[in-house]
Amino acid sequence: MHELSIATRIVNLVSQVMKEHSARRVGQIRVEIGKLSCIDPASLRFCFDAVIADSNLEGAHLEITERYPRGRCRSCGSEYEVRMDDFRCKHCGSDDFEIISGSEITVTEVEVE
Amino acid sequence: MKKIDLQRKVVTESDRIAAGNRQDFERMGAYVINMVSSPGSGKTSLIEATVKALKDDVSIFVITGDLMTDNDAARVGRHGVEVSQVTTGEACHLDARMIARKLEEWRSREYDLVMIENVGNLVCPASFDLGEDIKVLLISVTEGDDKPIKYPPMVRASGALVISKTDLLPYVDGDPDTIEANALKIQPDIKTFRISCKTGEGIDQWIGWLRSQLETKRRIRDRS
Repeated sequence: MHELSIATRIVNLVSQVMKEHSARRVGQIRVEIGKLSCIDPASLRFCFDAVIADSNLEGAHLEITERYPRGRCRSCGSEYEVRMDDFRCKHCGSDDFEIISGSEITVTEVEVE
Repeated sequence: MKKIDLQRKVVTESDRIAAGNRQDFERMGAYVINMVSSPGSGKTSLIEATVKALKDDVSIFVITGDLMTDNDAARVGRHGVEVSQVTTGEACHLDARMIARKLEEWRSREYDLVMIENVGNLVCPASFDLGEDIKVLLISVTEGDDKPIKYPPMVRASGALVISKTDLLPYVDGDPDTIEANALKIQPDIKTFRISCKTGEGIDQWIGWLRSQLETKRRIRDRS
């Protein structure tokens, strides 16, 4: 259900970019989904395809990459990719860490012409 | 085709409305709790125990969310506090827009404490900010000690964990120490309580903590 509002936001964003670049067609849209966002890639793709049907974005397709959360340890200073069943520092085991990414949905790149 | 580098974060309308709710709650001076759990973990019972303990000197508003019925609102309402039910129909979570509509109804009033009982669901509510100060996660001792590591986004998003139904411990394999240890692997800052609404065990610690949260909120509000 959240996937539909995310898909709509992506469409709005891409439409804006098309206007800015006077583009008529969109190809690949690269999207990164943080695993903490609870967004399912397949559902997002389904909703996106439904939203763009019969619109000027028809033919556009999402290239989705899922990103694991990244942690930064305050004890040893290292950055690490988080295991979803244990967020503690992979290097020293400390529970003094911050999560620096993992819940964002980002449109990283758009192909237009 | 030309490639355009964007690096643009997607922010939904729901996020925007939640930010608005947060501002409205600030103006109201309320400390807002979003209570989340699986269905049947004891959210309504904990709300009942809380309002019984606090209602004489704390002004409370309760919002209960369910797909159907106003049973939970009726249960809480019997204790003599203001309560409003959201029946979502089919939505498996409360969202910021539903809360915003309730805020429109009672914007001019002031409350010390707002308790929101979310729909029983450990997945979707994690990604729907309502504008609350804190998410309180309930896990009962019957649900399996590895529950926290099965639902990391919800544990990550929560500031407090209430391990509930401790009166059932003689009859189940649940171990509160293991539940807590698993939650701390995901969210080391989570504050844990162990309670039974049946026997009253642990309720004093919960109420004591809640009072200190209200006091902190009051101090911040008075300073600004």
